[in-house]
Amino acid sequence: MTSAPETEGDVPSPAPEFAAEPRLAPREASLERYAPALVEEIDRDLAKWLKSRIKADPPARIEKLLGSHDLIRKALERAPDSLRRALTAFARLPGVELRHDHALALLEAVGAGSGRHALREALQYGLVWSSPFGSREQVTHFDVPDPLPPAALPRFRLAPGLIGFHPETPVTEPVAAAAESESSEDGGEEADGHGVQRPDDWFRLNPVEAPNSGWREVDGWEIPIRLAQVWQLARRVPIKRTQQQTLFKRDHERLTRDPILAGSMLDGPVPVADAGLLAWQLAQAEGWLDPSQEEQRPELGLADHWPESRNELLLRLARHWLQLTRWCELPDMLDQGAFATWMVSGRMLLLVALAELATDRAVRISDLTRLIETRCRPWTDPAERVGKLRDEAARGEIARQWTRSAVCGVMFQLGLVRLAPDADGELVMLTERGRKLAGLTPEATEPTVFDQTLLVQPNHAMIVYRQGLTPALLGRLFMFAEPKSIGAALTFELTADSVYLGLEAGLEPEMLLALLARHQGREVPPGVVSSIRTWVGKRDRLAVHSAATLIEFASPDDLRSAIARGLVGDQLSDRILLVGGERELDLSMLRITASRDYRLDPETCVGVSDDGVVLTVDMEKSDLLLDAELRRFAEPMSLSPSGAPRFRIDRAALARGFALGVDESALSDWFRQRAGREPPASVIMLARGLKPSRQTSRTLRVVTVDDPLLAEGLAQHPTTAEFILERLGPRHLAIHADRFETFVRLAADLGHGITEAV
Amino acid sequence: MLAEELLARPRLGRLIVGRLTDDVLLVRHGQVAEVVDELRKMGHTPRVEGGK
Repeated sequence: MTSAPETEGDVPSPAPEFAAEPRLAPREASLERYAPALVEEIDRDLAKWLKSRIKADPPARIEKLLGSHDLIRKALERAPDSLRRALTAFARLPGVELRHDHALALLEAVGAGSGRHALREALQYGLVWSSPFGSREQVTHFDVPDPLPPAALPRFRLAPGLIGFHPETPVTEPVAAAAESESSEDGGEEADGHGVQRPDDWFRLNPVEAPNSGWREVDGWEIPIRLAQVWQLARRVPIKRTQQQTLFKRDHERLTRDPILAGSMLDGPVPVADAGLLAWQLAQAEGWLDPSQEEQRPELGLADHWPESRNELLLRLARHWLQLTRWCELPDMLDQGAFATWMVSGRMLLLVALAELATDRAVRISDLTRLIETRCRPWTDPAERVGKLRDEAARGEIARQWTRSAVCGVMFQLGLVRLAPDADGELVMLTERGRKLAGLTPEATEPTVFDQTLLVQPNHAMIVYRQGLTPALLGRLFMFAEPKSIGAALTFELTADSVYLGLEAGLEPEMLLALLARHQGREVPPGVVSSIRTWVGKRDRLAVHSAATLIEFASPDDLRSAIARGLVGDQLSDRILLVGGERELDLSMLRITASRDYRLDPETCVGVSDDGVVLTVDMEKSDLLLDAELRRFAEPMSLSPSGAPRFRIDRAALARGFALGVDESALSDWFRQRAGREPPASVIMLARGLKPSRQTSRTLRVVTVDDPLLAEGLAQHPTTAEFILERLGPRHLAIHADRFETFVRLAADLGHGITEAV
Repeated sequence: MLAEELLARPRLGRLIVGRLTDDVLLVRHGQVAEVVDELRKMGHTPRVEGGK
C-alpha cells in the first residue's frame, strides 16, 4: 500500500450538521466505486496479510479471500487488538453505512484507539469498504480532508463477504495494557490530551443468566404506525420547512401535537420522546419525504415504499434510527453542542454490547448506562461537556435517562430488545430481530399474521386488530382511512375526505373495496360500499390536468381518424382532443399547421368595426380559447367577405356575459389583450346600460359670448355666478331657463347686453 | 352547470384563463395548486392528474 501516512490523533469532533448541506447523490460504499489502482493495492495487501497464494484477477481474488473466514480469523490473531475490535464493531452493524465521524467515534468507544488507524487498516485490507467522498465520484485514497460537510463525508460498511463473520473480540472488555501499547507502537495511537477516560478505567458488563419468563416484548407496530400517520399528514398538507431546514411552527405543532403521533404507546416502559418528530426524521431517511425539499409531500403510497416483511421494515427503521442526528432520545439535549451526533455512536455501542451477550444471558440497563458513561465522548471528554453536561451531578442522570430512553424506548418499540424486571432494575437482551440487526443470525422469524383482521361497521367506523397487520396493509389503511385511536386494536373512520386522499394517492376504488372485503372476511356493509362509490363518483365529476396538450383537428373526421391510428386522449368536442401529462407526444401521424403555448399571453387577434360593436377574428393569430371567450358576450354573425368569423356585441349578449361574471373591468382587459385597445364607447354604453340607469333632461338657455375671458368673468363674478349652471365650452354658458331674464338684466348692469339669437 | 358554478366563483374566475368548451376550463399557468385548493374549499373533490 502506498498511500500517504496518516497522522494519528484524537477523534475529530462530529461534522457540524450544516443547515443547508449540498445535496449529493447517494454514493454507496462499494469496490466498484474504487479506482482500479486502489483495488490492485487492496488485493496485494490482503493476499499478503492472509498469506494466500490464490491466483486471480484483483476483484475476484478479493471476493474469494474475504470469503475465507478461517484465513481472516488467523490473520486477526496476529493483528493489533484495535483492528480486531474495529472489525467486531463493523461486523455487528451489517447493512449499516457508517459516516466517517460516527465510525471513528464508535471505534474509539469499542477500544480501537482513536479509530483512525484501525479503520485505515480495515480499509487497506478491503475488510471495510468506503464510499467516494468530497466531490469525487471514485475512491482513489482513504485520506479524508478535514473539514467536510456531513453529506460529503465517506461512509463505510463491512465488506459483503464478511457478513456473518464474527471476530468474537469482546469489545466491552477493557483494553489490555499490552494491547494498548501494541496499538500505540503499531499505529502511533496517542494518549489523549483532553483528559479522556483511559481504556483501563472502562466499565465492563456483568451479564446475568436470562430468566425463562417475565419478558416484555412488543409487536413493533407503534413506530411504523406513526410513520404512516406522518405520511397521511404530509399527503393532506405538505410539511413545510424554512430555508434553514427547521420546521415552521405550524408544522412543528402538527408533528408534536397530533393525537396519533403524540399518543401513548400500547406498551411503553419509557415514552419515546417526540415520536412524531422521530417518525418525520425516519420518513426522510427512508426517502419518501425528500429532505432537500422545503415542501415535503409523499408522491407514492407507503405500500410502494415498504417491504412486505415486518422484520425487514423494522430493521430498516432501526438502521436509520442508529444514525439519526437531528432527533435525540432526550429532546432537551438536541441543541447541546454535538451531543446528538456523538450519541449515534452511543446507540451503536449499545447494539454492539448487547450482541456480545450469549443467547442465555441478559444485562442490567444500569450496566449499559455505565458503559455509555465510560465510553462516549460527552461523558469521557471534558471538552465535549456543554450545557447540562458540565454539571457533574446532572451528567450521570443524563446518561441514565438517555440509555433508558434508547433501550426501553426506540429499541424496545422496534422489537430489537426484550425487557424483564429485576431486583436492581430492568434486564435487557436482544430479541431474534435484534440479533438479526447485529448480524448474529441470518434470518429472524416473521410473525404469523391473520388475514381477516378488520371489521368495517355500518357507521363507517373500522376496527383493525394488530395481529393481522402487515406493512402493506398498514400502509394502505392510512391511505384511505382516518385513524381515530391506537391501542390493542386500531380504530379508523372512512370519510369522503379520507377516501379521496386514497384515490388521489393512486388507489383504485375496486382495489379499496377488495382490500376491505378480503381483510374483513365477509361483505362490507352495503351502506359503506354505497358511500365509497358516491365519493368516487363525486371525484370523477371534476378532473384537473396539471399539464396537457390540446389538439384541434380541422374536422371531426380527422379527429376520429387520429384516434383510430392510436392517438389517446379525452375528446373535448368533435374537433378537440386533450392529451394529459407533460410527456412528448408522437405527432408524426398528424400534419401540424400551427401550435400555441397557452402559458404565453393571449395574442391580439380581433379587429373592431367603426361602430364598435362588430368584431372580426384574425384566424391566423386566434386560438382555441377565443371562440369560447367571445361567445360569453357576443353573438356569432355571418362570415366577413374575406371569410373571417365575425361577432356582434348587443345588449342581450352583453347581459348574458354579465350574468356569467363578466364586468366592465373584465371587458376592458379582454379588449386590451385581444383587440389591442380600450373597449369602444358604444360597448361601454351598452354595458353601463345593463345596470339601472337614470338620466335627466331640463330646459336651458345657452349664452354664447365672443371671448372666453368674458365667459370666465360672468362665471366668476358674484352678481352673475349663481345663475350659471354649467360652462359648456370656452364661450358657452348654460343658464336656468326660468332665471334667464334676471341674468340678462344683471349682465346688462355690468355692461354686457345679451340679445337672443335668431 | 358545474362550469358555470366554477366561473361564477370570483376567486376561481381569476385563476381561469378561459373556457374551451361547455365543460372544459383552462387554468392559468402555475395556478393549478390554487385552483385545486379553491375547488376543495368549495366542497369538490377533483381528480388531479399529474400532481399539483
